[in-house]
Amino acid sequence: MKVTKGYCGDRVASFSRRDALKATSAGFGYLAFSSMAAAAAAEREGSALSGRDPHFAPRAKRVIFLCMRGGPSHVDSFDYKPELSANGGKASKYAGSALCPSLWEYKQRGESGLWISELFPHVAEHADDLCLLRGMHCDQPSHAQAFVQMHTGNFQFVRPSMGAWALYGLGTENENLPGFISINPPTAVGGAQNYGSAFLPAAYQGTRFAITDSSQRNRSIDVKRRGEANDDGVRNIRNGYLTEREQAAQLELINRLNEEKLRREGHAPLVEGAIESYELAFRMQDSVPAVMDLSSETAETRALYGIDEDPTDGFGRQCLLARRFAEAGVRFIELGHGSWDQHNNLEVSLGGNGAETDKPIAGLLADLKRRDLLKDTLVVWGGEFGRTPHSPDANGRDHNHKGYTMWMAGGGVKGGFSYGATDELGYEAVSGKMHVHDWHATILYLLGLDHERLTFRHASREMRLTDVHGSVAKEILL
Amino acid sequence: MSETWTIRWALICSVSLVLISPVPGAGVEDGEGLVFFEERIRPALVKYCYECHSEESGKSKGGLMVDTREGLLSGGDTAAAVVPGDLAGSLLVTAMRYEDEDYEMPPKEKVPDGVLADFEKWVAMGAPDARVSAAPVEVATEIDVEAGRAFWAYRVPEDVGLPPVGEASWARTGVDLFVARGLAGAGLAPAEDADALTLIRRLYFVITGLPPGSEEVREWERRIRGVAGSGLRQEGVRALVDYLLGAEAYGERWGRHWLDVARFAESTGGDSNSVYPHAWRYRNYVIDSFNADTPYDRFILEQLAGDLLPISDDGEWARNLVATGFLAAGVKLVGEEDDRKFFADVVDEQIDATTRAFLATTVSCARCHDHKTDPIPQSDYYALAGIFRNTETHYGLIKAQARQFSTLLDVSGMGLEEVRVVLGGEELARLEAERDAAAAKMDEIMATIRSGGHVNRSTLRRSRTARDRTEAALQAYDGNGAPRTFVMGVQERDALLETRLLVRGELDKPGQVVPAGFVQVMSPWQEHGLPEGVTGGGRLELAEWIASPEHPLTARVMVNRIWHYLFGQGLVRTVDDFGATGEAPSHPELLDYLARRFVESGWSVKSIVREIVLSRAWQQSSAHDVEKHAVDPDNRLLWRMSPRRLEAEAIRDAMLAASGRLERVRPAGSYLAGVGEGAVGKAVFEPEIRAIEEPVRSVYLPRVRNVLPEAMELFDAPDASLVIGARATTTVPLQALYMMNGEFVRLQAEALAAELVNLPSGERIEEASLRMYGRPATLGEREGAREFAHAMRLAGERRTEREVLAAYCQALFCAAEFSRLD
Repeated sequence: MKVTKGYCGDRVASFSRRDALKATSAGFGYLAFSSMAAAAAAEREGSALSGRDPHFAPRAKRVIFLCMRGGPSHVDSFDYKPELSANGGKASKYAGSALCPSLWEYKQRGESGLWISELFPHVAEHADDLCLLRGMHCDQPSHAQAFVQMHTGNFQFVRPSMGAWALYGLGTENENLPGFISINPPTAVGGAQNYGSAFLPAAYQGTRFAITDSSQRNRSIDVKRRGEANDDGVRNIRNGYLTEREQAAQLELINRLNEEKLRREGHAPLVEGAIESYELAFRMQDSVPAVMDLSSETAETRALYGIDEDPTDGFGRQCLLARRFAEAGVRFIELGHGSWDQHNNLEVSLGGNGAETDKPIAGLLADLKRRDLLKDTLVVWGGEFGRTPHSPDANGRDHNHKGYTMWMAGGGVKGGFSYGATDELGYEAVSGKMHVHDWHATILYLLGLDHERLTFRHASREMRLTDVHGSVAKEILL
Repeated sequence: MSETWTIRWALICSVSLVLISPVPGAGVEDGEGLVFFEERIRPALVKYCYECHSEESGKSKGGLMVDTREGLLSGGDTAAAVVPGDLAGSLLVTAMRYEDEDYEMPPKEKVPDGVLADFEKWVAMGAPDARVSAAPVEVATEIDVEAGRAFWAYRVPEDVGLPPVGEASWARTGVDLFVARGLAGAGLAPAEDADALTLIRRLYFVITGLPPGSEEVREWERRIRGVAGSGLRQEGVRALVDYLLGAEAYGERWGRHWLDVARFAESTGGDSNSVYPHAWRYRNYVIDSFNADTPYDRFILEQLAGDLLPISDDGEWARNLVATGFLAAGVKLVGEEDDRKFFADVVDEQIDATTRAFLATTVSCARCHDHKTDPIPQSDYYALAGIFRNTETHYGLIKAQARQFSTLLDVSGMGLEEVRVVLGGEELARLEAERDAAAAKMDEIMATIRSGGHVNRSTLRRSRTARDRTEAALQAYDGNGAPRTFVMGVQERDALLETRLLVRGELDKPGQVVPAGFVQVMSPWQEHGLPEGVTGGGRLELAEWIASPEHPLTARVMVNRIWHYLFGQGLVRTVDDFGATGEAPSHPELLDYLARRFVESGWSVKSIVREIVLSRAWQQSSAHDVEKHAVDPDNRLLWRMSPRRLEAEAIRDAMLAASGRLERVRPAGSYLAGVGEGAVGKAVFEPEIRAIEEPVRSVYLPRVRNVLPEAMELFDAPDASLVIGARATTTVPLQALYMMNGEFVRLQAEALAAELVNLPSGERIEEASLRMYGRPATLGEREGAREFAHAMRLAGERRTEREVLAAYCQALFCAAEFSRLD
């Protein structure tokens, strides 16, 4: 008995509609819903994460989101603008700034001939696997709002993140690991909201992993912000005090106490849930460090990702971990890199970002492909918005939310494909426009989920990732 | 920057409003005037003003938009920018003349004299304006409010009397009679009475949020346990209940409940998550109010209209202002560029918090259209908006870090607790020097910019922040170095604003004027408009309307909240939603009975808590019963006490209590009071907050939105974005990892072991069990302890006795019974 259309956006008000709504929420419909919800809750108790069927056949089983915080410049990377080059130095329509051509040369790549700049020479080698979304746009040109909207669809209210929705819709494939992992998420720009579950049950929230990033600039600040990063990724994953054998004895005692309580009472779901969760936690103590341990990877693989090299080591480790998580059945994996907020120092700073991430991302694509994982792993790249084609000093760009580029690869999208476009200078999306809501709808669709049916009742409404918006970009599907 | 440009603009506007009342639409509109407007005025508005005051730019600094005729005539936050024919009264002109240094427009540079002359001429002409705006739309409602009053929640509770005692000798109190009738109707019998030890632990946790100490367990057991077969001694139970209700710990627990409802937090949340360093005063106010058993109707008045209540001295005024922190501490998107939108969102948040917290109704659903399920027309929303629009919300923040900032209320010398110390002359001089240096640096940068030089954006941002932070740091003290005392709260606007309904909630689609007032369907006993003769904005009257014994919802909603906290689920389980999408009460007459008792008791929360916990229904055992479970799986009829998991605060506090490390004295202020102004990630960092492990009660830990101390986050403390009357309870492995491996848990286990090891070896297991589970150890547990000690020896680490005990105690913390309440 779910109201699948969010009714706050429906401006047609009539008695019949109103009465129908009342019936669904208070009359017979409500009873049906309430008992269904209770049954669903009972079914999920203690196993909220167990695998569930999608709405229709999925093209992707998992998502790896390469989140480039700060707003990467589309005109310097994936959105080729010959008109911008031709008019470099001319006054822009904004006072005090001139049009600023890309500082990186563009070339056509692969058989598809996609134009990609020299900022990403290694990624460019995978052009025929990339689906460029060149008509992206969102609602706000400020970081926090756009970043939160990119993650949750809504910057006004605290809403579940897309990873949480994916996990809610599909469950996880590996109950020894969290189903939604966010590596090194930022603490600002919305912080935990970006991987939170909001009103969805907490089991769907992302688990924050902190990875030491040896090549990260400003590392001291990052350590202060995130806490001392360690190679374990998850807090409290190790007991630094008892040996494994001692802890096994301790777990046995815990179980004994719980079971005795259970025997005294006969039926106690809370106690049963606790038993399950302690056993899973105990298993995670092995499974998390095991999946985090890169020592079993060959030298060739490590080199593919640029691990042990400067400046790619940090992000290379993240990318390799992403592949390992994907293999292990984690549903939604987000990696973080930043900042891409080049108001100045464009050449050095943006160039540095490219150098840090290009090879690792290319390595990830290559590795997924040779392991036959790319076909059902959706890789998504991008940030909260793009940047202006103009610049006050030819070495820095401002925020631009009206048109920018993200890309996808694998997971059922067309490769070597470009969808949507900005105007001739790169200011605004003019065709194949994809709002963040559409982007969300499309990602869910690729996972086999209908964004209009994936709902959760909260504050008296059926809530969705896409609220009352969003349409799937069918044009990009394989 | 305590004095802001916006505030001064508001003050100036209010003066002009008193002098001259703008007459929209007045003015010469001949052809010549319109041509003049098109040729000279409109282009100048575009050139000099649109950047900050237009739909196109998305900005409306000071709430002013100049791209429509209405915008100019209705003006900014308070009054008209243009008064046709009146040069001195037209702020647009006086600002362009740069007559008042606090109010010069455009801010960067004066317009050329010719342009100014054009504007003067134009206003003198009567400000003809060719821009035609659609006439305001009259939005009608489809809702039949009168019919809506038939819904149970809007009918005034009736006195239907107690159910007959009949043969139900089980019943002990009025509450029991209702429960017994419900059970009998389904053919169910109540459970056995809980045993003395279970009841003692239950009472301690539910009333104070803390476990009984081992001596207390023994003492109260002696006083409560009756002779075999005769049940518990109720005089002993009553004594325990009174003792617990009198403890400071009661307010700390029940205050925390209310802080959930009040969506209290010490930061803005949202985009910037800036710290509210003074929010803790409201937290303490709430705790103290519960301990003092402030009548709930008074509690409502103080929180919604404390600033408007009669007072006998400054101290009372200051305390009442602190109470209005309820309205100030909500989520704010302080990065919002559009002032009008920000203001509308603050009002919306206040409406939402007020109506959900006190009335369990989501009136804010009617912001854009009639409420879809409840009989609340859109105009009701704007009637309330009319009240909150006339409220100034003071929440602080500094300009450089928040586009939307405000002043705080200065109550220095009015007797409020102050946590900061007096600064020495040297220290004060240092602050002044820092302020001067930062200001000089900023002046230098501005000079560079004005002369056309290039300044790095980040340098500009840093310098601006430094200027504002050093200024704010200095303003926190008076000239003698004594700390000034600030509070967050609200004030009534000096000049009242008119409120229009907004079509689809859109700021640029004004509909009819809506007079301030209340929710119609909930006003069966009086008119829903403001009472006659009210001259203020109506907030005090709104508070009185909510706090009225006649209000059909107020008392019901609160007794239902109390019931929820005592039983783990409300009589209406949707505690924050009494509307059509909420759930009907399981025992409607019991709900009304309690609501009436509540009002009769003088709105005493303690007396309702006492009445309920002394009922036999509440004192039932939590034992499971397969057959009854089949009939009533959700235990709606109360055939037993539902077992539940303790809340995050209670779990953490119970560990500290068991270890003997709990600091019972309230800490001064808040951790966040010391970090100063700024955002999380700038003034204070996430890891710092997550890792705070002061051994104080958890209610005193910092509450920053989205960033909670570890145990709070793991065990489902709400993030304060909404009114939360019923918390979620999750079971996730990260909780188990925290309990098994977390530093804090281990430290408590070690501290407890250090105490236990001093006892004779035969008493240690017993003492541990009493402290953690409130009962003696079972034979099986003693056996388990021996086996565990043996297994630890076999593990070969040569642990000391104390170390083994610590590992044992940690396992006891981990076992479900510790965090569960039967």
